[in-house]
Amino acid sequence: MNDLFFITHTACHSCDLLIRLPQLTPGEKALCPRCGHMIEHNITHGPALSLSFAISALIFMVLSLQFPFLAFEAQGQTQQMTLLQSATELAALNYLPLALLLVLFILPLPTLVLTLLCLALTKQMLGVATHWQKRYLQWLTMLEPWCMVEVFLIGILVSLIKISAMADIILGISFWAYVFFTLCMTASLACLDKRQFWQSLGDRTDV
Amino acid sequence: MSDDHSNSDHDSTAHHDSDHHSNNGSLRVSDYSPGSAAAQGLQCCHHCGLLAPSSQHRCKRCHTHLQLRKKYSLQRTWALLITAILLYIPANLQPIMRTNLLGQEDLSTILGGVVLLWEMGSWPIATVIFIASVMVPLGKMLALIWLCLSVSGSHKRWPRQRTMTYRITELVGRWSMVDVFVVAILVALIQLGQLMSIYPGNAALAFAGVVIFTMLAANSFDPRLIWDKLPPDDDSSHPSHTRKAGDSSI
Repeated sequence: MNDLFFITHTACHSCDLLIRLPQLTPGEKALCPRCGHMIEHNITHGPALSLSFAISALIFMVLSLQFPFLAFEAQGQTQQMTLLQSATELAALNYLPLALLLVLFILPLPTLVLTLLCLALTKQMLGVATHWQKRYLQWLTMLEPWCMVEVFLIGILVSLIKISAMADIILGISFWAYVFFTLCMTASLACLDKRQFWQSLGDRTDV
Repeated sequence: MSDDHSNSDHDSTAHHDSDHHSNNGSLRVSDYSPGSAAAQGLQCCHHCGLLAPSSQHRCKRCHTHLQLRKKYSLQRTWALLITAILLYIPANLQPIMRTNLLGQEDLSTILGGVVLLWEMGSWPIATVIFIASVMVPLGKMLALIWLCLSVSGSHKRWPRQRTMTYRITELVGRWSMVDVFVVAILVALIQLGQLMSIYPGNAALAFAGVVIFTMLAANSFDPRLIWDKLPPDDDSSHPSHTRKAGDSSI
């Protein structure tokens, strides 16, 4: 087995079948013949799309922190909240662990993931492969499942319908910014194929 | 996730039997399904997907510790799964939300909330909550129990279906968090003093724990264990080592 063998072959992460990597044209994806797991997806302009969505998502996230998120009006009383208040309110009522979990899953982790994505992709598009870039990508893979922005969005919608019967709900600018943030973030992660990324970092197997 | 620093014991395959034997017993080439990389003395980096000989300790491309299989996969999965199952009991018995309406306190559990919503006529929401907070966590835990039992009992049937089950389990994991988020949003939004206030109950944190621990359990399970020890005459009947991955354009 020469060096070429290790570059042209891989093992399926799901069933460990040894596979020769096919040459994919843009838009094609390769599936494992044994278990059906996706091996590689050649997304047309994947890195560029991913980077632009990531930047948009970061901008929308900053916007969603600036303005009122939701307002609630019942029997002449109005209450307004910002995105961060959903966590600080919990903390103020002495539910600190819950507040920390909430804020961690919807703000710092997604921000970190998007920042890492931007850094790694920018360097890739500029054609510089650094040691750090590989670290970014590893951290990204580890943190990705813990970003729950879209779950939070569904949570907002469910709670809105729950209380819409007893009060008037006013959606703030931040709410819409958050919706776009979620969409952009999901799109950004969906446009990134990690195997292609790793390959673009050079098949040079040096350290 | 688990970058263990004592990586020396995975490599007792193929050529390099000089290492001391591992805790997984001495794994031999014949312990892996034919066609798998492990059976040919190869392993794949779980981060960057670069192939390497089983004897190699670190990935040449991304410098990750290489592991032939996730370490103590079944033990870890069982431990995390049992934690999740234990947390699931208070998560269902304790109230997830306390509603204070004009001085009158009202406790609601997860299932109680679903029933109430159904009776109020908002059955789409009731269905969403029921799927996200009852079916998904229960299904996940049952699926993982099934996978663990079938792997330790070395069942040979339905490897493809079991891999699919695992992948779905991994995918839907986060979505059970919806109910916790709903409580958090309602608490933050509805604080009108005596008129109407909502507070989280003990079940909220327990339920968040269930979600987190089942996610960790799914993460520590190694789906490749499903395929190891499969007989050669299984659906992957071609004896060849390498095959082209099937293409399918979108």
